[in-house]
Amino acid sequence: MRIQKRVFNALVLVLLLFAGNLVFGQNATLEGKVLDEDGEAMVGATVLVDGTGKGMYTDADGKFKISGLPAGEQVVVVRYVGYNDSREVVELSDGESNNYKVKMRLEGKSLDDVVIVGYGVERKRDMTGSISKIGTKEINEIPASSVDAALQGRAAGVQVIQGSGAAGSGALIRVRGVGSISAGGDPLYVVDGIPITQDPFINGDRGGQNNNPLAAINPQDIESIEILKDAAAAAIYGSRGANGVVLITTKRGRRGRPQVDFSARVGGSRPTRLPEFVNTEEWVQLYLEAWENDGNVGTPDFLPGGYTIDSALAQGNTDWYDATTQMGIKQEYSVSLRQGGKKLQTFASLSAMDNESYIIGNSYRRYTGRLNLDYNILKNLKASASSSLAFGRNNRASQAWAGSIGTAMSTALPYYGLEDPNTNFGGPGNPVTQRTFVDWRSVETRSINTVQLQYQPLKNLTINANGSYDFMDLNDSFLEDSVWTNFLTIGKNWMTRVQNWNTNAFARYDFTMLPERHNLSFMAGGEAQMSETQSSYMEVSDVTSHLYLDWEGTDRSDTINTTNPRDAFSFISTFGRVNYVLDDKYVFKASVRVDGSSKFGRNNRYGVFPAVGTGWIMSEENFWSERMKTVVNYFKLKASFGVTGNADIGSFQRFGTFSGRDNNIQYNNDSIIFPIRLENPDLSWETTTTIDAGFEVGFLNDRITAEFAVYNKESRDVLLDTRVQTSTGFATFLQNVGQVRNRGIELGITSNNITTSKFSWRTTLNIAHNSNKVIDVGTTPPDALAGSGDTRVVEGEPVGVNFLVRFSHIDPVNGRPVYLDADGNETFDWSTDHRVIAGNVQPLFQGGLRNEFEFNNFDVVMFWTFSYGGKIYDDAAKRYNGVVVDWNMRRDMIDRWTQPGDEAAYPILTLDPATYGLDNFWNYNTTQWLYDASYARLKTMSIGYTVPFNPEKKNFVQRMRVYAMGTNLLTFTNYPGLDPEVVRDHNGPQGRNISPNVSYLTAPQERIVSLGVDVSF
Amino acid sequence: MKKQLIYLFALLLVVTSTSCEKFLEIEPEGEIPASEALQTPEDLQLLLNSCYDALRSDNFYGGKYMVLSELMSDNLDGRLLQGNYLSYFQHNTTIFNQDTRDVWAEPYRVIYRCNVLLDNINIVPGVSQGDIDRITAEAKFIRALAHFDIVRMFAQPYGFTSDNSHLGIPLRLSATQEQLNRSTVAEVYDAVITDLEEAAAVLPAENNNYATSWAAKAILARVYFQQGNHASARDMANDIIENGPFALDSDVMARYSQAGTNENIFVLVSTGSLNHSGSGLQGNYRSDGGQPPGLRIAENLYNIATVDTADLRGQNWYIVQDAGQPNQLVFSARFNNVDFFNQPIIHLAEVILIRAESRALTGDVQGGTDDLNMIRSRAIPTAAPLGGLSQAVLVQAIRDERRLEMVCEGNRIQDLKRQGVLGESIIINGNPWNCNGMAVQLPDDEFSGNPDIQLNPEGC
Repeated sequence: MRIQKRVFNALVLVLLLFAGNLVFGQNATLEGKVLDEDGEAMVGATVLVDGTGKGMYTDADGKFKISGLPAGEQVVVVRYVGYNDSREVVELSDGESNNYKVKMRLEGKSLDDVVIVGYGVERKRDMTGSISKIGTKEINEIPASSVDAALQGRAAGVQVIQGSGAAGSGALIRVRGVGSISAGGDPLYVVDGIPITQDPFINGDRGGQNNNPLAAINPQDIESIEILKDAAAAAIYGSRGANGVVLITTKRGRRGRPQVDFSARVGGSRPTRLPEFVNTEEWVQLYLEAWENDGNVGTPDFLPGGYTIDSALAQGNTDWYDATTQMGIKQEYSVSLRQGGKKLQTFASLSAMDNESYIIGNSYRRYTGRLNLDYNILKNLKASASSSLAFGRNNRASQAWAGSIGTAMSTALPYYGLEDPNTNFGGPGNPVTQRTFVDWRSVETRSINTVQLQYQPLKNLTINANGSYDFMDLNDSFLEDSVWTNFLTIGKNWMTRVQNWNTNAFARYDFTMLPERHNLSFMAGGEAQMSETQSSYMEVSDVTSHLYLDWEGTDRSDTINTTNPRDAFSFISTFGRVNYVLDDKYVFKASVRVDGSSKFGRNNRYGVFPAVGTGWIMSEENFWSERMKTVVNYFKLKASFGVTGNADIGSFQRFGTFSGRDNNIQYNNDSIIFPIRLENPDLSWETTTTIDAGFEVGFLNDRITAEFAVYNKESRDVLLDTRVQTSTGFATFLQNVGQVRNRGIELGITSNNITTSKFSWRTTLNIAHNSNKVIDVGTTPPDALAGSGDTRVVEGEPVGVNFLVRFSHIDPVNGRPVYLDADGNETFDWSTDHRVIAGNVQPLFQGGLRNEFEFNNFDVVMFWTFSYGGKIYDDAAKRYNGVVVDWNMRRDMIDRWTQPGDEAAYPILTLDPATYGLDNFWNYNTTQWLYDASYARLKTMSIGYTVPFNPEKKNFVQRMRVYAMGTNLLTFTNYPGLDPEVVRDHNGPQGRNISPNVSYLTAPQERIVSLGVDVSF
Repeated sequence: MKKQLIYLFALLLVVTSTSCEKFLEIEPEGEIPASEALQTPEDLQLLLNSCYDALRSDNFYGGKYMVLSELMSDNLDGRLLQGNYLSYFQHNTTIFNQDTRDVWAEPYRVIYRCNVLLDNINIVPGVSQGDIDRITAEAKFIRALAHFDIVRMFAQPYGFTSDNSHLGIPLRLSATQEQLNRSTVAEVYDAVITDLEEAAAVLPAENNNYATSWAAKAILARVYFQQGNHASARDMANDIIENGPFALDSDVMARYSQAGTNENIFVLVSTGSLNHSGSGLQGNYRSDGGQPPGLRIAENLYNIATVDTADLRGQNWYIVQDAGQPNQLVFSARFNNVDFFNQPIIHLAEVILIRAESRALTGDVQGGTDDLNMIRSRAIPTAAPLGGLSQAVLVQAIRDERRLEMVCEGNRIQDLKRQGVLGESIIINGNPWNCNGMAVQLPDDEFSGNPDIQLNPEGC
């Protein structure tokens, strides 16, 4: 209430300020023309000058003329059936004829006014929940090969961290913070109504990279993406809505003349930042310094790699980073057809892409085709089909710890020769040898298909029935040359096939009681889903081609061929929703979903997920006068409450089982059986209760619109891989024991700063703050809920704190690093007992800022993303700048302690971990490598030119735009590493939840410059 | 119209909910519900077989246990070691060590399986009393082996305190998820001996590669020997040598040969290169491939081993790279030129050496000398038998012989600790035998499951 009152007072104040400008007279004339979206004259539109009682219809040319009007600011309202009302303030001068032109927009057809919700479409003004919508233009505004990356910075409260610079890597998306710990924290992805296969761990973290399940979707096929953020919006997805829902809707045919669109884009990429390492001479010199510091005399027998000092120096200098990177060339072409007659509407598209990254040997190639058909069988019966087929081929270069530039940045020392088979580096470990002799591809075939029948037996009743099939076939295939294997040429192939069937039916009934007062709509339905994964591994020696291309060796006796047991899960659900709108200004909504899943324990088979929401369009009230509306034309308050769940866990976690006898394991030529898991009959979904409140406001006839939301999300029964003593024979036990809270505020503003026929400037800003707190993890200690880079889960702290020994300074006397123990006392000893909570990986706030300018036929878009307040841990720095072993040294290592009195950044060089108080150089995890992850980045900037055509002539080409685009051109950050936004590889959902901002030899993002053309015929 | 609607919604609900239960019952393929897994005598036999299979995992007797033990001793070259291996070499392990996690979890997985078996052996119908006794004895034998080797690695040695009241390990004698703290070393040894004595009494003398009474007796001899109970160790060893069917092989390479040898008393069986019980051991030492091995032999040991150029072990068990250069490296050749071998857990040579040292320490100098000569005559066929040694010289000679005879087998660190307990001044890789770090630190995941468990003090 207090907020309402304040807002109201502010509005009154604004109104009073404007009122002073009003001048009265009765001799002004207004004349003009009303046009439709395509610039055609609209005949018979109503033009009213508000509050004067004057108005008229437009004539056959769409023109009108109204005289005898008072001078000064007047509100001109234009109405036409099927179009949104236009309401604009016009300054009328006394005694003059004032020209006025208005362009109408179709009602409900405009992207801004309708949103897709689960199992239906709603007017935006009737929404009570928080839904962010991203349109096709924004999706294609950056040269992202995958749709997840295109969401970055677009929606308040939706955090998107780009994957690495490697082609084929995926982004990490968190909607309103992370509410899960051991279970998956990704939102649910729904494409054209189907929850798709979305597991990023299908290939584990093989080669230092997780699979991107969205890679096969062509972003150009997408009409819009809606992100359901709160419970009122997401509860209709029940046990899978807690981490948000991303609804992807593809383009469909539409009534009108056929339109063919062609687009082409080519570009080149380099890393956003290059690492700087010492050269051979410096490296050897620093190594010898460490050797001498350790009290050794003479010279060491060896340098790493088995070289002597002389042989190393004789090798010269190899720039491994240069040897593993290139200018990546990117190409993307797509053509689509949109057409529609009375009976049949079609959208069809084809695309081809070759997205080569700056890492040599790494590219993502994709060919996609889509056919979306809508056919009106009868007047009230429509059949629709949507079908997509994609072939993706990710030519892989191992990332991070597994090779390529990860090796170039770590163990590939400058004195190792590029091709030096006589040394230890001739074999595995040499990234150039690796890419030359190991051909690794992840090949994906993906097809997502839906058929739908829509029947309207009564005017107000619509019945939908859907069936869908999502097919994913993934071959992760290695062809290892005999040079590499030191044996025969070996083919290895991990095959994974996921089939996902979904069927649902729902009916919607609308009715209106007492004309215009009560609008009610009901929706109810049911859904069943089944997903099945088959996987196998095959390894064959002495082959000539990839196994997936030619399954030679299938019949051979020396073939290793392992078929994993089938993995499968099912969901069965019923759901319903009631919307009630009173007087077009009071909105009430309630929904419920009941979900059963094969994943849940026998004591918890069904979950119930209700939600209620309400909205009040205050600007429709009588007290909201037309004059007030000239300033604040729209104001809606909304609030919602609801329960959602998260069921992103393994299929068979609830079962206590033994291995069957057919496990192919033999000891002493006898079979074996053995216990696998303990039963958890109580295993269930995570339950998230969300309260959301906010308002939507439009100023100056929607010239400025804003949305504001506050929320509190309490996740209970959070799934934890709780630890049992490993001495029990088990390590973990998945249990619903945790509690996590996310609270936050979100603001999104769109402002049409300047809109004239020659120049326009539009700004969109979104910014969100989320505060995350782990309320309860039972008795689980921090080290039992660990992520990479010493990130942990600690009660009372956000999910993912940096649990580190504090680095204080370098002792100027002896050059050793000085740590602080848990009590803050200085010590030379690194101990796990000294670890404290030193930071948190989640930002204080993050968002995006987009400015779009149009000047005559030119357009410029500048899009920034920013993140403030989180920490980033550079897990590799402890090796670059730590105990000298066998890693490259970063150039800043030069600033090390060499003699008493030195105030250095880095300690005395040593080969012995004990000098730094360590047992193991890997454990040199301290706050010295923890940095501020704040950054602002010019994500994309483009300049386009639309070639003008005379609309009065018949043109073969209807529209043509050429543009230049730069991605990641500028980054402002204090982070000294390569890239302040990283998603490293993880071996499971827990690491992904806890350690988003941990870098470990992660390839920095790409800086891309591209040129493109879009043509419509 | 309203009626129509109600019917329609009702229909939808019925259609979607009738077949629910069936639709939601998806059971894991290839797995059996735990409640149905153990129904027949054969199920018990298959579960018992999995205890052996876990025993030979790479993370335990497949190699990791031997490798980490050997790293803690003075047998390996510390130069070029890194990371986890280096911390074992330097005796400064912490709770974060993947190798420790593995070598802790795997033996306890073995123990869990044995305990499941022991808990169910009297529940499953139709098992003959003979089978009950044999399966019970095998399970106890395996459980004792695992407990014994974990306590040797993660606790200070037997005799470190006079009453052995120092920290041992969690002693798990039934299959529960109960949080347990560490028992004392005395309690662990008592339980190990109880299990082994039962096994020795009940097990058959022959058992198709599985545990036999001789295997249990041999391990018992090792346990007594570790305890400094030389009389019992001597008698037990004597029984095996005199009454057992084992004989030293004439070939010094036989212990790790594909053909196997009658010298081995208890082995983990390998039936092919893809079913190799010693792959973890071989993988760390093998020096006949394109890549150099991960572990290298200490120069000092190599020098001792090759002093006598007639010693077949010195001639056959080592390979030198860059000989005479400052960067000379010594590799083991014991595991070369063989695709797979039965992994010996205890063999006759060790039992003879146990008897030798026990005899010598209990005053039987002649008997000890004879035993030493048994080993030497195989290794150095041309050497004259030793004789006329003083007790002290003999004991040292047996210990030196033992080091050479069992290099890379993972026993050396226990021998050194045992000598430390007997009052010798033993320094291993710069650290005294009884400093804190000699007991490997427990892994973080054990501690995570029971924050009350006592960690080892660190540092040497």
